[in-house]
Amino acid sequence: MTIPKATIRRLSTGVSGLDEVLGGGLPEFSFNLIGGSPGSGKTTLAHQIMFALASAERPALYFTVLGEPPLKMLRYQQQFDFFDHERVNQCVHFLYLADRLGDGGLDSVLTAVFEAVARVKPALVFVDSFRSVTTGRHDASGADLQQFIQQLSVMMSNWEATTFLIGEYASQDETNPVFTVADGLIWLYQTSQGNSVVRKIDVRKMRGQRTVPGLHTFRITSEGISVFAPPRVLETEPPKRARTTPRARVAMGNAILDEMLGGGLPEGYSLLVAGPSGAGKSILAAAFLAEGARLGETAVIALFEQRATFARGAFIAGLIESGQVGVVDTGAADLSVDEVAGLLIAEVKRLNASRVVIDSLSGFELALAPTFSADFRESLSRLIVALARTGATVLMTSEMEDRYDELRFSPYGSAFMTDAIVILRYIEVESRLKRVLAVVKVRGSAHSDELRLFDIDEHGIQIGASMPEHEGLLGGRPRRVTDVAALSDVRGRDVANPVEHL
Amino acid sequence: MTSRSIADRIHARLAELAETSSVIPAIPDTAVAYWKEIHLRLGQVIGERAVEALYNRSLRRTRDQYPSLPEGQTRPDGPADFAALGAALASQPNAVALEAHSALLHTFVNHLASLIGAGLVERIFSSIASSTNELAAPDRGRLK
Repeated sequence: MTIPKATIRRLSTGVSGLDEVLGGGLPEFSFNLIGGSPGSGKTTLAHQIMFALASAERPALYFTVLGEPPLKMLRYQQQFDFFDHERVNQCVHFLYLADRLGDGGLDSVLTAVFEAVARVKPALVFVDSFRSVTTGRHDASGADLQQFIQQLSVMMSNWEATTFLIGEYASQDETNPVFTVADGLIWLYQTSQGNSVVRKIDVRKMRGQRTVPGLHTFRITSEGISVFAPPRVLETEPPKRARTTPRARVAMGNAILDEMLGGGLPEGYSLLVAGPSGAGKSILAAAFLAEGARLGETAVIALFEQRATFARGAFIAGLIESGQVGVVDTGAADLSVDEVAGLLIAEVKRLNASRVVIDSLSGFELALAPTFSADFRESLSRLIVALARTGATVLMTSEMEDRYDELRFSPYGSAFMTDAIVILRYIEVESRLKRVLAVVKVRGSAHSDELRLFDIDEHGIQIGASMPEHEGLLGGRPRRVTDVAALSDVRGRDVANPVEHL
Repeated sequence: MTSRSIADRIHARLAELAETSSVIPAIPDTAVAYWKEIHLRLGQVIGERAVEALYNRSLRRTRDQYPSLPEGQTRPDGPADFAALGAALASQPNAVALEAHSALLHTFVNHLASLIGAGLVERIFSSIASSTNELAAPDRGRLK
């Protein structure tokens, strides 16, 4: 007969994204430290967790010491939606300890904690700020700091209380004995660069479970803290097995473009539409959405430049209004890629969307906090992979200046990240500014290699003929070949100008 | 308003006491007992110093209209002298003492509500009110 092992129940923190980063939630009865500089969100995180977990069966006891004065703490924490004053003195209890600290130091604090815990019998205990309990007190009270922490830890574990010590610790302060005793170390950071402020969370230790390492951005709004776990963590579905059958094709809303792509864009692919300003990228994206709607599909659009309701005409505005197209309108400042990815994936799942548009990557990069610009390419790659895992077909637009002295098909070196690329360019023909498009790549599929003229009218993009009688289109100054046979004949001979400039 | 209702309830108990009690210091004693309970219970949540600061400020504000009330401590966080309040109330006719005390209590509760919200004040005071229910019973010897 097998003797069962101890099972550790994991508590859901009520903080969006944090359970994923913690590796499935907080271990019950764990002894945790929430650290960080002033203003980094420690007290807010503690309150949010407390109000999410506290119940009649699981009462919470929040000790305030010398940190933020309780009057201010209660005043400001009430501004968050999670603060439910009806539960105060029912299942959420606040107890001020500073007076006891003044009387007798650590021993007195420990006694006060013991008494209160014995009276309230909490399942959740918070000590805020723990650093003020310990700073400079270990010698004066005669109790060694480490002993104090160990006593507290043992007592809380014996009481079967999940405990949080909140403190303003410098992250380098790793000699602090509390770091050794704690089961979990959760660190909050706040960094500034210019006018940009970015908050990050780091779960440096969580005994018994596999956390997601590294710094993860979070935001504080009236709803409280939201952590943006890396997209791969949000995706729980197992990777799809290798395909044995060809992918279905997704119609782009333009029959000729579908033909150029080899019969439409393979389902689940990511397509980059790159081109200069005004070339028609957003119109192509709108056609993609409209076609999906016509087929009864749902879609999501992430906007970083134009307002959805203004820029894409009444039809798209109507789809948004009706809910057939969901909008991730990222007006928030200092975005991170993980935040956008989280919003997009949540919206895709909510609508069971089969199409996603990101308009545009250039605007997306500008919307990011400067600190994320350095690794934009890596972040973008993560975003594309995460979106691909949802199974949706993705169209991204990207601003790309026409350069006539070099051949570029994508910005950010992103050509290898996407499955397909369509470029739009301006050319000069007969003293007119004309547009051409070409399919540069469709992974694993035959596709057109033509450069086709196109116009934009009230119905969208009208793709015209290719220009076989011209060459040098991508150089911006196409030339008409006067006589193809003659051209072929004269090649190799010393004929300076077999074509005439237009 | 919720935050007023708790002050009103305490006032109502004191008024009832004034009508039914045959013991002359019942009102001052009961009022002081309430304040001691407020000091204890609220002090556990926001700290005794914070309660004392609120009390002293409330006294100073209410005293403009009711000069019979004692002066608050000059230091905002000086200890609250509830005995002085009891003595001041005892020196007045019941009706005047009740009115002055009611004004003081309302000032205190409203001031607290402006800081932490009426809802939370109600929650905190509800435990005070329930624990002091028995204090409102007249002729309780332990109040003397």
